[in-house]
Amino acid sequence: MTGGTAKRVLKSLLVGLVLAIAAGTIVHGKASTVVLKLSWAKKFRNQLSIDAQVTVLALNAGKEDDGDSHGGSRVNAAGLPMVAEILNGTAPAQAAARAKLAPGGQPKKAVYGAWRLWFEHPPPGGATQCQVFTGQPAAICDQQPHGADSNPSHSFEIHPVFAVDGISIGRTSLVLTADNESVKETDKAFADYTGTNKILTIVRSSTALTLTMISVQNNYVRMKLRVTHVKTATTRQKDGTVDGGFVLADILSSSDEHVVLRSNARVFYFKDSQPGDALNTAAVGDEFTVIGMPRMDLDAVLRGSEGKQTSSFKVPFEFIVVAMG
Amino acid sequence: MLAFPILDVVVALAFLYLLFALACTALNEGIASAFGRRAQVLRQGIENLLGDKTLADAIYQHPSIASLAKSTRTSGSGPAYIPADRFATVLADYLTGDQPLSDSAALAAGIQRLPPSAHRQLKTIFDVAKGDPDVFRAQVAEWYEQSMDRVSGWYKRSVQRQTYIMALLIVLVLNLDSVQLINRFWSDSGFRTAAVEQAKARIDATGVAEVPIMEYTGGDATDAGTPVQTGTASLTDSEQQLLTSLRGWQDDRNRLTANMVLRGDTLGVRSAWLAGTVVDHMLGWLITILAISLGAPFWFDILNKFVNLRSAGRATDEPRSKVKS
Repeated sequence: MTGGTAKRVLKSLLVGLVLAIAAGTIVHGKASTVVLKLSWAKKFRNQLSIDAQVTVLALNAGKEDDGDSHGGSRVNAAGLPMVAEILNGTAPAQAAARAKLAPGGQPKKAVYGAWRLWFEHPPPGGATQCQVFTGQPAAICDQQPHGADSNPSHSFEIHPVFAVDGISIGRTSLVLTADNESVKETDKAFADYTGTNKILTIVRSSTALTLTMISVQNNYVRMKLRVTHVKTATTRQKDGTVDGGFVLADILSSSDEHVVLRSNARVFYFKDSQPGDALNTAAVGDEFTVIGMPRMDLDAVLRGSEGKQTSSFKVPFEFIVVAMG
Repeated sequence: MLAFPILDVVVALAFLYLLFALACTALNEGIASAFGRRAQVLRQGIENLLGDKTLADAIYQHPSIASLAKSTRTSGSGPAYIPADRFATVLADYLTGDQPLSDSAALAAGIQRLPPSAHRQLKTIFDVAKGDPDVFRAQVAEWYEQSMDRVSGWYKRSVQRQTYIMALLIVLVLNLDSVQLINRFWSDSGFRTAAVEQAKARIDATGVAEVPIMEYTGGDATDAGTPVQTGTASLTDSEQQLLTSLRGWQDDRNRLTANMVLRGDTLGVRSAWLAGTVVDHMLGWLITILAISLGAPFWFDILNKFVNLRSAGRATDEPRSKVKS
């Protein structure tokens, strides 16, 4: 290397370093990590619901802008910090279930609802949350076990809750209320779900899945869907009864219905609800406007990571219908 | 608006350093796995903790410990990780023999039978616990955790030493001369762009330098098991391809061939080539070795800052029309 080149490179490196320091205030969204037991993921990959004994630490006092009641938990059968969410939780029809979910009385609540893994409220700063069933987890697992909070940092939810301690609320809670302020239009929500930086990195071992990505927002989305395949029934793990199912559907753009934003998306529904009534008998070509909620498509995660230790791809997602739109 | 060509060179270089550091990590992990290094260090730590090899052997032969080795490792002399509560329970079980774990007298008798070093340590803990078997187990677990912090330190120092050796090997085998790399990034825009794009993908994909590889105890049960970290995952397929596109020794080999054609294949020509090559590359090699030894997290943080800075302005190879005002 000539002296001239060396000087030029050194000078340029110094310029770069100064710029880097100047850029120190630019904060990049930091990814967080969830570790799942592989056998657990395989068990729930095609299921709508989960039954879990949940120790609720706190229940939010009032009403969130989406109308949900949040029961925060760090000790539960799913093994992850989580929130159990009753839709339209402050409505009188949900009062009994809400009272059951509140801390106090029996410490463990039998919560039945849709499982939902979605990096919407991950730990700030990119911590790792591990599914822990027994024993002391590895040091890297940061379960954030301090304090009672109705909305602890979490990526796992039982949302929506279908029943608490046997009190069913599918019929009354899975409805859209006029004051729900959180529903986004399809195009806006999908711009976030499918953004270039919404990359899921998966490390797969013989017994675990390590999932890493940055946070993704836009919880509820109003969307028009066109059914492409009729229902596939799903069963409740607890007793083997049919709890609902999913249809495959094209999700249409809210600005141009000729544009399909996602083809053959899995759209899950709970049988004993308004969405269940509509989708359970849907035929190919039927169109519905629904309020949906994305969750990670564990089936796609497992298929995409099969036979590879490390893989990265756009986060695969599917929907749970929470109300007719 | 920021637009400095040097920024791309810095991003590309930082990214290559990150990949080299990750490759080094992967090699370290591979060696640790092949030789059961984690298990060996853990075993050494437990022998040191108990002060008696026979007692350590007995603990390792206990089914609760032996089963950990089976589920988390494929070879070697034992598990790579033992949860503190399991260690405490197994030790108490060994001490009480056929008697229940809650039998304080059996526990005291078991401690009495131990060799002097182990006896003294455990008797102290037993006395602190005031003979309560539950408190004793909790104290043993805490004692074990404190010891494992030191074991973790041994392992890290061992890995650091190994990292220097690996860095030297990687640099020599691939001829990773930092000065040469800077020149190539400066002059070869295709190579530079490929590296910058990969760097952006890496930042977007994980937000972290390394993703943990986890395993679970508890077999295939979906509601049991403890997460254990067994390593870290590093390079993706496309990143490995980028590394293989480095020229390595190709230019130097071409120079040797040219010299041999001009001056004949003599020892003198080969020696002169070797000496000239070492002198030419020495500075670049040293810089690379030092850079690799700084580790993947360091380079990831640097890269994160530079990629963010770059994102704040126009990419040097992007047309001006893409610039947002």
